[in-house]
Amino acid sequence: MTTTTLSNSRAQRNWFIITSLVTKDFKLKYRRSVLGVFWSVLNPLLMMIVLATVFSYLFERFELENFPLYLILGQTLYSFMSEATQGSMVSIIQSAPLVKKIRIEKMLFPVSKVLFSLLNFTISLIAVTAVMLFFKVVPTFNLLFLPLLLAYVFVFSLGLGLLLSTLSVFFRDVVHIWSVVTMAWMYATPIIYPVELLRPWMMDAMQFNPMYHYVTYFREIVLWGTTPGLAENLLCLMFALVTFAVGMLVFRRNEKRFILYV
Amino acid sequence: MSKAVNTFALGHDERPETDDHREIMVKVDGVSMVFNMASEQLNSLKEYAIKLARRELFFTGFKALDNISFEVKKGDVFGIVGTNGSGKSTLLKIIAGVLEPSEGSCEIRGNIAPLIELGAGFDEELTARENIYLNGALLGYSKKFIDENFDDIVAFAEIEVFLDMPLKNYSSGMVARIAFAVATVIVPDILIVDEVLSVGDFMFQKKCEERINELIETHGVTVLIVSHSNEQIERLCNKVIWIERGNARKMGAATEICETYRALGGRVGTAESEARVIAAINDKADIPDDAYTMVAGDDFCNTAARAGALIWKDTKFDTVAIACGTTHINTILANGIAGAYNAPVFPTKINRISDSLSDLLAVHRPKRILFFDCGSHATSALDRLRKLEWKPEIVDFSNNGKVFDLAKEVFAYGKERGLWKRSAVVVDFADNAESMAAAPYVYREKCPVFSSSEAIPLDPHELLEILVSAGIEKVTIFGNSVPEEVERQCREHGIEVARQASKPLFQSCIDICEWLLTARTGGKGDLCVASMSIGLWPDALACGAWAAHRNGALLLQDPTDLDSVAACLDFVSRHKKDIGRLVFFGGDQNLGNLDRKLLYKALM
Repeated sequence: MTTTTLSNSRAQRNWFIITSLVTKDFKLKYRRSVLGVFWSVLNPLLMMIVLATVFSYLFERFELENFPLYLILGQTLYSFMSEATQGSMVSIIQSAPLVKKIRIEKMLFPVSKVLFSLLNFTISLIAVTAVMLFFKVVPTFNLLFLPLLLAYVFVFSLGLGLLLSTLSVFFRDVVHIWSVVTMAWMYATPIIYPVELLRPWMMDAMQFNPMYHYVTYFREIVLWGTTPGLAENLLCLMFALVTFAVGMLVFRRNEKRFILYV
Repeated sequence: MSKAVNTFALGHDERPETDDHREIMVKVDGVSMVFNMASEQLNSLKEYAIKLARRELFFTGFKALDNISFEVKKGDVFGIVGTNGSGKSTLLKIIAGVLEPSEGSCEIRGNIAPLIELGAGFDEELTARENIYLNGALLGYSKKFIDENFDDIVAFAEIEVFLDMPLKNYSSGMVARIAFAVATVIVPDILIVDEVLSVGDFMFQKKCEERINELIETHGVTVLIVSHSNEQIERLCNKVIWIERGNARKMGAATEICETYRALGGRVGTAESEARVIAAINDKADIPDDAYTMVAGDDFCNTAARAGALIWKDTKFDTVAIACGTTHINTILANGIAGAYNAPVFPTKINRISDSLSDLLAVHRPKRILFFDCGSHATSALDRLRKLEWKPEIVDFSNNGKVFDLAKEVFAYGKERGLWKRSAVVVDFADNAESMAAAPYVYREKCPVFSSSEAIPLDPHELLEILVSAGIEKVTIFGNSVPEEVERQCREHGIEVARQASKPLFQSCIDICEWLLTARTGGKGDLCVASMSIGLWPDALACGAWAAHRNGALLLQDPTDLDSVAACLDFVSRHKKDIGRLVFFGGDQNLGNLDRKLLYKALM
């Protein structure tokens, strides 16, 4: 027994809390399932098979090269964002006992949820690799941009998550609305259909959809083997930073009142 | 009857602490906490919009804490007492840094180990091992520290065997053990303990207290404790603050505050009454061990049996009245006839005759047993009496639950045998306390008792016929619930009638007691005292016979109402010349040690 236990740095302590929370979520997600973590790989694959079957046989006009790979890329990246925002949105409400009783950095809860989603996404990359192997898509050096993309999406999702978690504390309605929004947003983003399907005005509107840029970025570096340009990188970065800044600001300004509402 | 709890400050008795140079660990300075009740329950946009439109938002404030200030110095064990909802936990949350005060500030020196609700952050699905790490992390421990102390935690919580079992399979006591073990494995500068010592079995509670003591004594940890156990606070703390509805009432040395709190905490009553009681507390008179008599068994049957045994210590009774204890009215009816036969009155439980009563009956072998049971509940108790080996005569006054019918039956029995004198008593079933207070009178004057009740009201004409036919000349009504009509009819038929009742209830009881005490002659008598609280009245069932035999009366006190307490104190000091001895019925559960002492001091 020692009195020096609390003297390690705050960052270290917070990191330990985050890893503990992520570990908890991870353990709970796969506890008591036979296939366990393998589901993180299997799930996107099965989803892809269903979608690919439906869309290439029922609507034969989708004649895209490697359509299944095109699908799984968009779909895994999009579920990273939607899972992260949905998780972090309710993270404060779910941690009500802790928020009320322990002095703790409240931001750790949304952060841990986004990290958890990132972890899941990383695992699902195994599925992506399998599909690449299946279609004999040769990886290029452009894959090196992947960490950068993940950083963009991470920061973007975290910003949204912070904003949503704050709003949901005060208005539980947000929780119900957001599931509809994520669905609508998914259809508004070319994930299950080719970009070419869009009319010109829709293409213009698409420029303001961050998820469009992130998904396209992902396909460029994995599927098409092209290098994202500087402008594209800046745009992705800007979306991420602005969202994060807004989320952070809203969260910081309200976190002291959480305890009264959770 | 909604009376207020006093919340004004009683003046802190801060002793000059000039030579106290200990470090200030917690400084609470003018802290107020206002909760916004209007926006508290708003959970949807619609509600929000409506409230916004009505301009009701942000307006209804609830002051949970009002300008609280105190300092806790290094090594202090500081207790916070107060009734439920008085703001204790809010205060601890502010000190723990979980909650921001609306006004004022709270400074903390050093690190805090809060035990504000154990086990926050435990996950049911995770195993104990995983939970220890998770909870440790949330409390700010490092991984290394938990690794090092893991065995200590497990040993303290005594869960070695179950380490890898999910927490949902644990009992709540075991969960509390783990939580306490995790929370106290470090030696913090300040430890905050909120009600946690009330969980778990007594062995574990003891262990927790020992651990806290160890932290206090060997490590000089500063501790803040909230507990509902006044004894625990008194035992552990050196300084105590008492807060009531968010207001600091008194602060000072633990023993002193705890004593005041025990007498006044959460009690309703006017400021004057409170001042009266405080004055009585501060009166430091010597109280000898045999200052008053206590008549207490482990339940009301044994209390009554003990009382009977004491009164009939040297003489024998040949008649006994046994009344079913489910309602007071059985005993009240029994008192008149018992008075006529000079018999003791014993309440009984429905299913058995208590051992102490059986023993007493075996010694006295009464020839006649009068059994009162309105509603015929106690048939098994009656069967037991029928099996007594010496075959006493059993007069069974049991009926279907109509109180007035039973009263008529008893009256007829007494009339046949010429037991009644010229006076009678009328009470209402609802006036429980007043009836009790009247019992000594009923017993002494050998009065038949008639009872009205809301469910089956008595017919005044019928009552009058009975009274007139028996030549009753005087009727005393106790309590406010007996209909006016009875009074009027009596008067019209030339019967002298008086009603003993006033308001509020406690005053009514005191007035009856005073009337009784003034009406008797023959020097000092015993003043029986009991609580009038709901649930405790059975203890007072034995008082009728006692007070009648010892030339006294029965005083009923409501210990939760300071007005009643103060009025009783005044009453006792007013009647010093009439009261020889105080006799308390029902032990510590009835009137507490402090209440008894106060009354004794008032008598001195």
